[in-house]
Amino acid sequence: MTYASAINGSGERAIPVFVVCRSQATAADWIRRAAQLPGLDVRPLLGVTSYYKAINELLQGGIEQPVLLVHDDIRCGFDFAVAVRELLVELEQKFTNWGVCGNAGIFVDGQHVLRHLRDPHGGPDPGTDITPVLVVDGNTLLLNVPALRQGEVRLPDFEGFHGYDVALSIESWLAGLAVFCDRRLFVMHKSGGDQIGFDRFCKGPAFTSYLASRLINTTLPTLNGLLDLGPSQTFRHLDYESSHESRKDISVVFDDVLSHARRTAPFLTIICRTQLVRPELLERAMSTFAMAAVEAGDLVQLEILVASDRPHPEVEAATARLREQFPGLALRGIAVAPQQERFSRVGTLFGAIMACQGDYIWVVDDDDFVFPLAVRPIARWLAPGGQRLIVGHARRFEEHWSSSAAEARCLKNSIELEKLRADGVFHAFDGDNHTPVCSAIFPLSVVKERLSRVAARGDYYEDYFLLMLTLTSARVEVICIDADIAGISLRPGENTVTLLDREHWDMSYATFMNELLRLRSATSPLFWQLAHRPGSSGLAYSPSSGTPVSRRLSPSIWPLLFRRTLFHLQKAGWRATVLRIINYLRR
Amino acid sequence: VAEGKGTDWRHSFDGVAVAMSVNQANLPIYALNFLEPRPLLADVLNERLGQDLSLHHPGRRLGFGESVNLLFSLVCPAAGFLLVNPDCIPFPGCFDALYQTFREHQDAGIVEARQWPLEHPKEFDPVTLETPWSSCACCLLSSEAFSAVGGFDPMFFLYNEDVDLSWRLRLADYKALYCPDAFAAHYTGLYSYRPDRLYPEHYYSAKNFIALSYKFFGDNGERRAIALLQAAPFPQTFKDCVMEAYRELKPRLSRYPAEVDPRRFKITGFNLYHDLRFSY
Repeated sequence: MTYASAINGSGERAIPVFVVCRSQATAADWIRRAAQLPGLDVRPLLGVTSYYKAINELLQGGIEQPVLLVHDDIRCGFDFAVAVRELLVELEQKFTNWGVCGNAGIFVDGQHVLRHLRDPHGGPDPGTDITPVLVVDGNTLLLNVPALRQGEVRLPDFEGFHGYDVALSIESWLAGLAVFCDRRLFVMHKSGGDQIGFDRFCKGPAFTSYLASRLINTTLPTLNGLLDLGPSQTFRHLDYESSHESRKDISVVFDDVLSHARRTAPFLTIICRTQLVRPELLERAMSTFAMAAVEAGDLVQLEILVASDRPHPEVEAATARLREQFPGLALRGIAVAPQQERFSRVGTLFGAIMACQGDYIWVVDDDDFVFPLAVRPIARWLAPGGQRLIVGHARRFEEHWSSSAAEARCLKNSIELEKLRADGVFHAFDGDNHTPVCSAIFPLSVVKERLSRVAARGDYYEDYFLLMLTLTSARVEVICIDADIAGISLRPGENTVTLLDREHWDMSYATFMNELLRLRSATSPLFWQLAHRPGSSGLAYSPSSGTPVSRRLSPSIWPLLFRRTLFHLQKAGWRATVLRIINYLRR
Repeated sequence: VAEGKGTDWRHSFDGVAVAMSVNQANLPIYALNFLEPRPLLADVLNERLGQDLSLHHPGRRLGFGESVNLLFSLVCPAAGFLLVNPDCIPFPGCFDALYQTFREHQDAGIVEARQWPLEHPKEFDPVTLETPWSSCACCLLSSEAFSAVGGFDPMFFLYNEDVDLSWRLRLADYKALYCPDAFAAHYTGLYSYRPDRLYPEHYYSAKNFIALSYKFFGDNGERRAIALLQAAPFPQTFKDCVMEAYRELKPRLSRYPAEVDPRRFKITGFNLYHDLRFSY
């Protein structure tokens, strides 16, 4: 059966494709090409002088189904209709309110660009899910015409062919309709765009004034660069005493619309592993979860799973106490019985993971904590059933807690040591653990599938093992976000990571890596080749550079020593100048 | 004193309740929602904290300082009172440490808790604990000192009122202290502000920076503050907006009646009132 019969025989209406043609010749080309595009109803638009007006007319017309609006210089595949129809089904299944979907766009953080096309700028990026984007590129647009009409979306009456996709994206978001980007709209775009024309129009006063009349933001990221709205902005809305502001913060709109557009909010479980021996740290972790739950709002369903190797009644009692202290948290406890074949820390963690039912897990041990304000940037990337590994920055703190037996332990000092950056996750393929487990949010379905294949007989390095198992899954997509998401408490003499005797550590490492490398699905040579290609790791080492491995594994101690000294001086309460050090010593 | 959102109230009081239970304290709590003068979550709060909570509704929008002044006049705390922002959760032992420091320094006007996880980078003396100004995000204030200086200046609707209060306390021979042993989690938006917009904190801080400079250092202070604002990396339209707002505020400002020593009361940069120990 051909695609044509598959689509036409199904009795479904063809998808209208409006092609904005610059000439009779390109229109004729598209008419001729239409015969090769079954399931698409190609309708060339001639004589268009304004993309804005063309979209407005389309929205005001009598069309009652989603349509495609494309440039005349794109080339779609023979089975494009099948892909679009599949996408439409998924959009309907997953979202209640969507307005526009394209094949390229920029995320709300202005840092992640998604491209599912081939054009003079390059080829496609991978993509596992339909992804919300702040601004979509206009080369190929799937417009949910009925929804846009109902939302009374109308573009400003500008002439020309620049900025309409920016305006359409913003107007769609403001009307409560989400804007997405998806790989199924992949096309070949024969043009790289007209940057000079874009700059002239979109960075000009008319366009920026229009945006400033709709948004309170001072900048707006687009695929063609950052638009500076500052000169066109007014700021009296910042005054609580006199503000009556109807304009919006586009990021807030993005979050609000997205949380309402999803039929189901993604489910995130924070697994807090504890032996119930340091209640003050557990309590602190919980307080950060409580703040995170408030911050998450409707973007994500948050659940806390207290996982322990202690007996069931103890875990239940502790969980009940925490529930009383933090009534706003969805909290449950799990007692993972010690297993003969696994070390306790590994058995507890992996047992808890297998008991989870949601979409994502975030492993935060009781002595770690989360940065509550990071939940929003994380949640934006989560989707039900998603397969993304979200990695953020972690900050390490050296802490001192009072040890008086007579009273509850109190935090006495906390010194920030260093920041472990999210993009260090790719160093994992170099054999080093650069990503603390609490700085990654794992896709549950992937992790469960991977864990079902392993015995996990090691002890320490279980977090690295978990990370490597996930990274070597062919399904996972890594997203690094530029936000502090977790804090790690180092307490001299209390953390296993600070043990001087590394034998148990080394044996665990060997056990886990040996098992990983025996796992057929984890040893796709391409993963490791890509990870080890020169320049990919960012470390001052590559097989061709000649840098000794010993140097790679043992970075100079002096910068670390200097940093630590400085922090110890800073905790004394003053900036470390020579004069102040002398004064301090004299005192 | 909270600024509005219902959810903020809830987690804030959860946090305070946790700290109180660990401290084995039985402190009465007084709450005031200064931006939304209507009952919010009263049931939740009362359920959570029982009889320890008194919720006040001023019936109109008040500034932060004015709200505290109102609560102070209603409650009349005997020795001192704690101020806790809704985005703060005091750690176990925090109140005890603040109180200990307060008791050990007879001339303490205000004792500030140490913010966690990111400590405020401003200077303090590790021996005397003195600091140029104390943040009111989580602090213990002396009732006597607060009364003596007339409480907060209501001209500062929001932000910088703590610098103003600290300076006036110090000028009245009270001390502004920093207590490094008293930890309070403070999830300030400051560290998560996005670069694509400006926030009320930017606006009020800029306006009140000029007001504070004028109040304590007269025309010269005002001139310098305006120059620093003009050099700051904000859009010119924002600076114009701040200047317009300041011009509206200025007729209501009263100059501090005595000469102020700029070496003791520092302005080290735009909206900076201290030397930095480190920066993030």
